[in-house]
Amino acid sequence: MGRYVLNRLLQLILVLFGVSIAIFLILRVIPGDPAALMLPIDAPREQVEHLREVLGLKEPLHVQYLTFISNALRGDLGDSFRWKIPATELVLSRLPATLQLTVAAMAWAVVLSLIMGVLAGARQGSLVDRFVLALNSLIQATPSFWFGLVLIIVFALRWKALPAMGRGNIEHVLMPSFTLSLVLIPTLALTIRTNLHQILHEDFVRTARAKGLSEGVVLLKHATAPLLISLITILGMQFGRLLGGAFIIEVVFAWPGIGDLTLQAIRARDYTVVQAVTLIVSGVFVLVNLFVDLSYAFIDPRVRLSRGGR
Amino acid sequence: MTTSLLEIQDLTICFPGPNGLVPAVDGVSLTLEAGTVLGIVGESGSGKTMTALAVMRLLPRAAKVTSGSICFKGRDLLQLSMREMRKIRGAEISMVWQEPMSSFNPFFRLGGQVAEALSAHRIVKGREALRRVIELFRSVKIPGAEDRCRDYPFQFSGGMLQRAMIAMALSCNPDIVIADEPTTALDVTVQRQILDLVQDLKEEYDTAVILISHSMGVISDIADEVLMMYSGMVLEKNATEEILTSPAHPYTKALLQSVPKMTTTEKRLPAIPGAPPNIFSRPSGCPFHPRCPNAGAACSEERPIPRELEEGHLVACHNAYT
Amino acid sequence: MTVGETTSERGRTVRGLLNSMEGIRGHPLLVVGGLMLAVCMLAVLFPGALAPHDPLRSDIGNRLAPPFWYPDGSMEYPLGTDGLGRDLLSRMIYSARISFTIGVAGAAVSAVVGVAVGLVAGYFGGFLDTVLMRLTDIQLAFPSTLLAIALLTVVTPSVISIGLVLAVTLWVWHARTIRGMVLSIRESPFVLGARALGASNGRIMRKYITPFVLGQVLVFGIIQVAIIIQLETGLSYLGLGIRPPVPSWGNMLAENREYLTTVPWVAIFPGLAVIFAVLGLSLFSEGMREILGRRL
Repeated sequence: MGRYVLNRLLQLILVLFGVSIAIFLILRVIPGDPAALMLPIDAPREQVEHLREVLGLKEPLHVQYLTFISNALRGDLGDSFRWKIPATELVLSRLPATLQLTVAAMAWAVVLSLIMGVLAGARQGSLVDRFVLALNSLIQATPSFWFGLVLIIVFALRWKALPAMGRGNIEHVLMPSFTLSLVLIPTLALTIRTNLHQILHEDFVRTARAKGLSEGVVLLKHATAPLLISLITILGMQFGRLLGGAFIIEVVFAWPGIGDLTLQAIRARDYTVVQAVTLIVSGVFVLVNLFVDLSYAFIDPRVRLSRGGR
Repeated sequence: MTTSLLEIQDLTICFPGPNGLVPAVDGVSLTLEAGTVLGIVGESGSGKTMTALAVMRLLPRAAKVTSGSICFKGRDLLQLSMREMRKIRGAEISMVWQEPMSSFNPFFRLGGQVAEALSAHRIVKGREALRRVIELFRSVKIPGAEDRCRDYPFQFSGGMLQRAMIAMALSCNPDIVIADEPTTALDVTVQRQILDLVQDLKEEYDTAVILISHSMGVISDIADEVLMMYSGMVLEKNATEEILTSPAHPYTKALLQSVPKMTTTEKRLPAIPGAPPNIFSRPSGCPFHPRCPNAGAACSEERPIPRELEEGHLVACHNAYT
Repeated sequence: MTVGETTSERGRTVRGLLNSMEGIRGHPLLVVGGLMLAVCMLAVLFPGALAPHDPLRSDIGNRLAPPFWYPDGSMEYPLGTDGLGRDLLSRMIYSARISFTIGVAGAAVSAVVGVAVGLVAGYFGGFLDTVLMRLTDIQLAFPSTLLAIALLTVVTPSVISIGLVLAVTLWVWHARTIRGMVLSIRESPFVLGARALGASNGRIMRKYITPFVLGQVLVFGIIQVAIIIQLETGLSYLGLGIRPPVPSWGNMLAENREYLTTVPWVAIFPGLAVIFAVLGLSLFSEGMREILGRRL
């Protein structure tokens, strides 16, 4: 199992390097002078030149990349042009808020998807099943941020039951996290439905029934492990979409997280921050993937024990 | 009149087809006496597995039992509620499946899964149950029983898993064990071992066994009686010795002829021409008539009903060999 | 079908595809989705005919007029007007054209690139395959929205650029799936047989693999149009997509955000339009999938 973990870790580090190269290239190879883009249109020549020096843009590309990487490995991702503090610090200070939102959204999504997925999967073709399918199609077609606006209109403005924006206590988290969960729910619910249906037709489920176990036990005990695996797989795969959705939803609800930061940085043309965000988010992403792989090993004995058996 | 342990009467199971319900099992009747081994031989599509599933009430959702009764110890299983049926499953009637590799849950240890029947039926739990499992593993000759209890299914070979499945089936001392093609997925040498095992255990536990297979060879080894099924119908039933030496139904005879023997000198094996029909296109009258060497005029018109030729010997044929 | 045949293989492919689409009647998803899409297509192709007003025309005296079912509303501006007095309905109709153009263009590019990569990687395998798959891994390490945002900060947004950016985030889907299909078909008996008879790689790809691939690409492609429309709406909302005064459902939602408290409908209607378009596309693609089901 140790070898498995090491293997995955190495692969992921490789991917992270690839990501860093990609980010590096995007901001430097795109036509246009990054320094000129960062400054207002009528900035004087000398200012642009000076900025180019500061950013090291005069060096050959591979030197720039090496500087970039060596700094990055030490945690230095440059200074924010607009806020004048190290980009890493800035991003990391905003990260917890986004993570809180994401985790809360996952919680909503898992609970609601399990309910819908199990109800639909256990009785495919029934009325409940069709209703769940239709509902999820609708959810999938709905822009999440628009729904967020609707929620604000209803709960914050009309009924004044929840705060419209900002971060504070539990009431503040409810609407944004529920809105974000909508990004995840259709995929999750549909996957659970399909998988549950498949699992209930597996040979080992038939054996469990033949032993005289009740449907409840069969569902809760025998179907859970394989279902859990597909749940975690999807959560891992969709994490990226979730983060992407978080960006927009943070703007809708004025939630002080990374998404909000990125957009402000974009408006201020602060590419250092955009770059830092992308790199850090990819890093988080990679960690999440690692975590997903580790949980496979935890749940599935075949993964855990595949090297060398007993 | 003593009641048999299991008595299936006129069982008909249908599936929805393009033009209404189509029978997969058509008026099947059989009896099983306590402590005996009944072999059911048939090709794919003969309905033998469906019959077994019907006894356990584990038929697929699309299947409908349109007529018949399955009397076990005097009670009609088809009329029982699921709660009552569950008490019987695993405890009084248990099953051994064809594919041992996929019939166990890969995520749980084997010992626990075998013990599950015991704890589900409140016979013993926890540590006591595990001790029983180790005993059972020993009786099915799994070496290193104590350690192997804690292993996962993927760490066993097919033959070992099948032994474990047999152990699981016997754990609650059932009256009947239904084995559906228990050796088909295994190597020939392992097949032999498993069949011997079944024979020994049957003696030891005094269980009745229904052994289902497409192979006459497997059945003839340990069965007391043989039932030939084809296209959802029973074609012949007789004691094993008799059916091997003097088969009455043309199908039985043709099947026996196509089994290669050590003394076979011909270059080509005699095979039954044609293929068994699928349930949606059953021939009229006797389903075997298109392939039957003895087919006569009546065969395509009228369905043959099982008649008793001699005591204990039933044949469903218009032109049986006598 | 022998390898040596020269009769129009392309015709056969298309005919084959059409043949499998028999019995359209019995497929409600396809019909409903198709109808919804037809409505959208009307808006896309003939906005001038449908829209009562010029979407850019401001009628300041009539700002924030309510929809016609309110006492203050009128049929002149059926769904009301926005903060600058522009007719909401007209703007929504013209937005359809923008969104669908970006959607279709993006999905097309994504399909072309993705299928090409998938075919090459799956068919030739080996080193090429590994390299291409590592590339897709790296791309998948980026959340697609983030990638789109990052790219759009350096590229000036226009219909073309947005379409391309979104295509970049989505081609990976096609690549992966097509590669999988190719891998399984490559080893199937009829392909091996064709190779044994001396068929060239190109011919095998065209004749045997393409028909299977086409159906899959079509279904995926339609879904991707929907996804791109949703992404574009989001990006426009953030100000990174289509900029006003050109109407886009996304930027309509952004522009009218301040009126949420007083006149919520200006924010609600554009969203409903998106839902309608995306739902139409999803239903249609599901219907397609059902019909082509045997082939996939």
